[in-house]
Amino acid sequence: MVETTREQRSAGNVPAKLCRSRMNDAINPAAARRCAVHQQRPAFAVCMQCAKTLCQECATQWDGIWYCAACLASRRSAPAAKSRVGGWIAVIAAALVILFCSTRFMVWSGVLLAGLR
Amino acid sequence: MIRAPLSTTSVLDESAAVVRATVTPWAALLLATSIPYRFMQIVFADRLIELGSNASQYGDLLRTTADITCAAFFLSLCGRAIYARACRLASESGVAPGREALRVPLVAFASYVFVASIAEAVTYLLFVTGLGIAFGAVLSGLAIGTMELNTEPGIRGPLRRLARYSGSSRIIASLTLVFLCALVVALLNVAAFVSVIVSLASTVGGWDAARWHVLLSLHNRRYVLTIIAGALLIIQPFWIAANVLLVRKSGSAETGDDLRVWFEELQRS
Repeated sequence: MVETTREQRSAGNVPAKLCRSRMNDAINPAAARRCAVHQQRPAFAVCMQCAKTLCQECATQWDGIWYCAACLASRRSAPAAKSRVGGWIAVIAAALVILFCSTRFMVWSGVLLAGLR
Repeated sequence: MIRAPLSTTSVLDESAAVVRATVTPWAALLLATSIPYRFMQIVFADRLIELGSNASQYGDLLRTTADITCAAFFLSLCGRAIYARACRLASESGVAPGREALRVPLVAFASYVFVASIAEAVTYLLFVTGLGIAFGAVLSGLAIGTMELNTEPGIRGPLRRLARYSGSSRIIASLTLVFLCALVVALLNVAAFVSVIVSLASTVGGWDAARWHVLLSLHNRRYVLTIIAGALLIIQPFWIAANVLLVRKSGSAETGDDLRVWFEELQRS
């Protein structure tokens, strides 16, 4: 259960995830105390992207922020797609630069060899 | 199919069988795409020899020739990529591959162009030292062998794979030595073949061969360069097949890559 004692709250040592759960409580008090995926389980944290309440199993902390599995997957796929585009740009640019350099090396070594004759 | 343990002789044996299976039309396609590149190399070398010590004053002419050679090189890479895929398919199925050989994954091709251009740059950079051809041949061989293992675009992956498969250096060195000998034998064969054709033409056909004897003699540098290019074209399919098999065999020994590729093929079909 997402319950804290009055002493804890007054002492100011309530975890941030519980505070978020409390905020959600205020919006929808009936649904907020239960996990959005597992209705029989108590809420543990709130997904910072879709604001779903999550049990301990469903909540994952990434970079200090709690996410549900779906939001975490969407966040993880975004950099992968970016790195794929980055990989394409890198490999094409590198190939073009090296091909350009190889033509210059070809002329350079050819002229050097011809000069040695 | 990986039939024998990794060794120089097993790679050579199986590459001969693979070349036999892929000779039509894939080896022909490889030749057709490689001829412009070899031709431009001949033109470049001929111009250099002709210009001699004055070559440094004709930079624009040489640069233009080098740029055209580079374009022809890209075309030859397309042919090599298709042929390498055909070799891989033939080695797995044991039969001549169909149109599937044309479906080279774009990621694999881009990675191959990147690594092959490095090999090309290294060849020209070290050409003066005499080591350039050997280094370039080994690098380009490994590049074509590892081509289809690249599934993600990037510059680190192909280089990492290249470094990993260069581990079997003893077999790579012996393969390079074998192909160097094969190049010499091919040179002699091509030269002998041309002289036999000219002799037959003059004897049987009553053809004026005197002029051709002058043109097709070893004193003519263009003829010598053409013979070298012809020998390179002849051994190229064997070189590519040997490198594809070398990478497949060493990869299968270490990681079971062949099993993964086979499973992917099975899933696709």
